[in-house]
Amino acid sequence: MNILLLLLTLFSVKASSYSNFIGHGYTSCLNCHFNPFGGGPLNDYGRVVAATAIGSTLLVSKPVDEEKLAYMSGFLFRKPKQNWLRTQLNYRGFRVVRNPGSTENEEAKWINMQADARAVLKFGENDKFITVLNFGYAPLPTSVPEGTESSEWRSREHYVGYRFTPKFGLYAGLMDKVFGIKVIEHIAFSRVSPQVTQNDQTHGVTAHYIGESWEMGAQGFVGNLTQDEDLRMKGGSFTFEKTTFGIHRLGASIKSSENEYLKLLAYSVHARLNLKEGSAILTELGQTNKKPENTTDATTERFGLLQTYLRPWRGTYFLANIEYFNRDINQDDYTVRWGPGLQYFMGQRIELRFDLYNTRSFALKSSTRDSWMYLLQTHIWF
Amino acid sequence: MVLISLFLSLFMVSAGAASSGLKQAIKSKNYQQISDTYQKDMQKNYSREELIIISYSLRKLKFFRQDIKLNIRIINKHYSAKHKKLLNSIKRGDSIDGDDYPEALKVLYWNLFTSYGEIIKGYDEDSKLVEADNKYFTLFSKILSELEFREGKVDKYNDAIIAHRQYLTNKIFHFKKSWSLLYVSWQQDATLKSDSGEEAGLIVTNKGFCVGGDVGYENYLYHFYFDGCLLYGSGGVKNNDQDLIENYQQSNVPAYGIKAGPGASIIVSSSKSRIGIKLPMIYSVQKLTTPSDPGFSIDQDASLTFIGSLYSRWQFNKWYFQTEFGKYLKQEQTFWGLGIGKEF
Amino acid sequence: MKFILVMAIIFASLSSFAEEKVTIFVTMTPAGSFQAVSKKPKGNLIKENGLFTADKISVSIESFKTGIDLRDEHFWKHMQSSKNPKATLTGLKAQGGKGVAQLEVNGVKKPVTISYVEKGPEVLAKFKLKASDFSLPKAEYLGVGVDNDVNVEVSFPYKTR
Repeated sequence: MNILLLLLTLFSVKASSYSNFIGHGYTSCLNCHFNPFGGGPLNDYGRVVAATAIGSTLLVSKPVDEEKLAYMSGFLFRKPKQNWLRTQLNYRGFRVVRNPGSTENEEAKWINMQADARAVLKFGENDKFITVLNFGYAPLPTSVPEGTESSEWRSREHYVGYRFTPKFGLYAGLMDKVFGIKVIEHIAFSRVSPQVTQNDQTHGVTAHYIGESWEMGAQGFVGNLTQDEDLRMKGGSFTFEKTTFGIHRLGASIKSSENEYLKLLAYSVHARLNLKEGSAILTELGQTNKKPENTTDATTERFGLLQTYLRPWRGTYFLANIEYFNRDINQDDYTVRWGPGLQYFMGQRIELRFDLYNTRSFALKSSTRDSWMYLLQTHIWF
Repeated sequence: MVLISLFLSLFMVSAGAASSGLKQAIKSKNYQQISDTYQKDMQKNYSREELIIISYSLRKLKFFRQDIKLNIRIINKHYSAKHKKLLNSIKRGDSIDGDDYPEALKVLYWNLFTSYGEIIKGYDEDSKLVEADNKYFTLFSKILSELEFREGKVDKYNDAIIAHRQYLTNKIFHFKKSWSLLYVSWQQDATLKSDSGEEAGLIVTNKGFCVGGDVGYENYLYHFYFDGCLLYGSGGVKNNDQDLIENYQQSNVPAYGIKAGPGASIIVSSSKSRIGIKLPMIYSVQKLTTPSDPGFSIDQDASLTFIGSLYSRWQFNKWYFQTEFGKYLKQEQTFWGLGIGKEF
Repeated sequence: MKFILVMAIIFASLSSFAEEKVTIFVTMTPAGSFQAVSKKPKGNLIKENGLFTADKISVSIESFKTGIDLRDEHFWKHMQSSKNPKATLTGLKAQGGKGVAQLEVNGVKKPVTISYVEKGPEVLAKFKLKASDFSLPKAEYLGVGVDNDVNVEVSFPYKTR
């Protein structure tokens, strides 16, 4: 176990957003997204990058006219005629198959993960002032008992932001929490353990600063106001990244939050390495300390992520996703989830993805067969 | 025809008249006739105009080597002094003013440049001949650059020839070897048996290291290899069927073995990172202790299994980072590994 | 035959040529970076008694690649490649790791100070520029811009006299 941890550490310390696009030279999410920490609607530049650097040219007549692709990257397949409103529609669904090949236990279903309508109102020089709205479908977690009354349609994001200078901005409203690497796999241990999954948005105030070779975010939050008050996780978080060798990013994050039932402290270190030509390695290693209220018992979870992206040609990425999770660092038992994946951007607006997951438990006092799962994901956006 | 007229016009000053036969042949695009005429008497004292017509025809017929000899003959006969002066200036690294050299000479250099280029394009395999022809090609490319003659076209044509040569070089397979160290995990089956005939399946989950390397052949796109490593680790097992026997459990049981097999990868980046498949076999030995309860035994053969695995490697100069994820063929168990290696 | 012999003399000098390359390191705003690389600079760099000189080293603007096709086109357009197809370094004199030259970009000539190291048969030179010094307008595309300051690296083989 320790050796695995060491290997993960080696690659952190050395050389919804798509953090792997550091492989194209984009160290900061702010280049392509209105949210400086990534995720949410793309700005005009982000749309053009999606069309001309990320998406394949399979569906484009040859010879490829890159300027035309850039022009058609707008919402209505053309350059917007005004500067103050941007819209986006977004759908993500996947077929998940558990225990594939097992005649007794195979389970397959289609899940509509996300269907959003997004709008951004923007004003001022360099879009100093923005209002972001994101409303859509978010299925209830499978852990929620059937029959629970809770709407599956809700606002995922709504905030205002103001950039006082190109380097400094303040944002207030419902946003994702600021912590670690924002990978799109919301089941990743590095997202689940510190409670920063795709449905963990919170109301709060976020500050973002970008320096010559570093970037930071600080956030104070009061929980999601649509939740019952006793459930809302209130607290704060901080994240910092430094550019190294001109092209990589090393970073660290810390988050403290609590509600009436649980106190949570999460911290991690991470690295985003640019392997050039679109390839990248993402790695994160952290711990989450969880203390139920009114007890002295606390457990510390440990998580690790190593995600590698190889881009052989435009539009295609081969992935290897390796995760580590220890539910209690005072115990030796831990879980490793491993999976190859293939991500194909058929064009600007269409992403197809295949992920295979094999989960293995390592325990002193038991030995069980691996579990398997694969996902076939479709992501379409306009 | 426009082109040949242009060439001819460049040589009109004190050019000897071309025979009417050659003129007629070039007008009717009968290049073969012109070539045949030339082949019959190559040493004849052809006029400059005739040599131009012959050169043009030879290129049309793709007789590039003959065309090269002819152009050299023209340069030696009519532009020897200018040619020597140019070469000496280039050698010394002097600044060259293209206006000091006649246009006709520049066209001859262009002919030589393109003829050598076409010869190189005709090669399908890399060899010393390609190298030899490329030296001349590079020379004439350099000359045309110094003279700043048709720069855009020279650059474009240069790119095409460089790309072709790169393709010829890249096609060649080279012998490669490396050592590697992997952190691995794999599972094995065993069976807990009672004298009464009851059985319970056991899964042993192991982790450890595999030290070894690979040898193979690689070109710019493919890597075919055989790799192997010595496996050492340990694992644990627990019986889940409490009706059969209570609390049969083992931990840190040593396991060792060997993993070896062929693989093939496709190289996907200029840094030589690659993805591929492997078909190794694993032979591992692990001795579980017989339960202390009387009447029970463990059935555990030294296992030889075959695996189909996905492999990826990120190259950093000679060092690399690799991952491997495999499934036992016709079984449910998996093998995975994560590690580093170095080419030597 | 003589022709071949003369050619051979040239070959001997050409064969020592290593790879020529010009790399422009560009910082993006708000964040990120890219490199514009050309492997086609042309010219002659002479070393004589420890002094490096070059009458002219030029590079075609449209020979630069940035890694994204559209960005290549924007780079060339921004550098006004249709009007001024080349960037040219003239009057280079360098010794002891430092040198000066005149750099012409976008039709504007400015002196530049260069630092260099010898690496086998070639020289690796570095210098900094301000894009505005060469009358290049501020570069911005859909809110993402580039820094005015850029770093340039040139690797170029030399001939010894």
